[in-house]
Amino acid sequence: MMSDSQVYRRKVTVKAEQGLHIRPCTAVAQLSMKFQSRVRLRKDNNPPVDGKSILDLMSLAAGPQVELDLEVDGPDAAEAIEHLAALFESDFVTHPSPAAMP
Amino acid sequence: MKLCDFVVADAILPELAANAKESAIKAMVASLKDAGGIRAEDEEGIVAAIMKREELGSTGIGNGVAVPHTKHASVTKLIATVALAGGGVDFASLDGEPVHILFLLVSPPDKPGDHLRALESISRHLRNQNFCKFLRQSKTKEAVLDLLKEADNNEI
Repeated sequence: MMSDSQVYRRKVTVKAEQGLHIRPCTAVAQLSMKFQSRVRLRKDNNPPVDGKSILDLMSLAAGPQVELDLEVDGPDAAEAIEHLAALFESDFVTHPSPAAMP
Repeated sequence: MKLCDFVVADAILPELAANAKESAIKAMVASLKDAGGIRAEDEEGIVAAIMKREELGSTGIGNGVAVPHTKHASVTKLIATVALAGGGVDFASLDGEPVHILFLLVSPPDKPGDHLRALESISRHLRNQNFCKFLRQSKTKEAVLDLLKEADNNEI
């Protein structure tokens, strides 16, 4: 229902030393897929990519310390953006175990 | 970065017969060795390093694609090979589907930026459904190479 839909935006920074290589991309996509909301990430003024697609995330070629715009849109967006922002903060190493996620 | 900058043309395997992860990786690394991309004495170590990376999580990223890779001090520039497995390889992919397109990368440890740029190049083209379709239809090294060149020139 449209009335349930919420949009959240936040800037996130890639802290992984090697940038957004396959493992971080996989972690972001897997976490995004746990939510109903649409997840999009954008680098600079490029078109946004689908946060649920590893291929899309790989195409960002986001190096270490690159800032990305994270936008989450949907019924569980509030929760999703917190988990995703935490994943970026965690450097993709100490992200919550899958069991702890919704 | 263009695909043809790092894909070793002679190492392309258009008809990979392997249906298991390890045998697919072994065949691709052997092909890189046969093409002169890596030294024979490094072959085993590279296979082991790629398999170790797979233990951290499958590089079968969905949509029938896998990108097995490792860093290895024996290479001075990033190299890769492409394999097409018509029968599909069981890669423990994230979506549970067998893999038909494989890009295997070996990169020098001190050049993470090149690794990211190669991944960008590979993923950008693999997002193009026609590229994937034509790649899976390719039956010879030459056909694959022509397609990679067309992709590099944005002609697909």
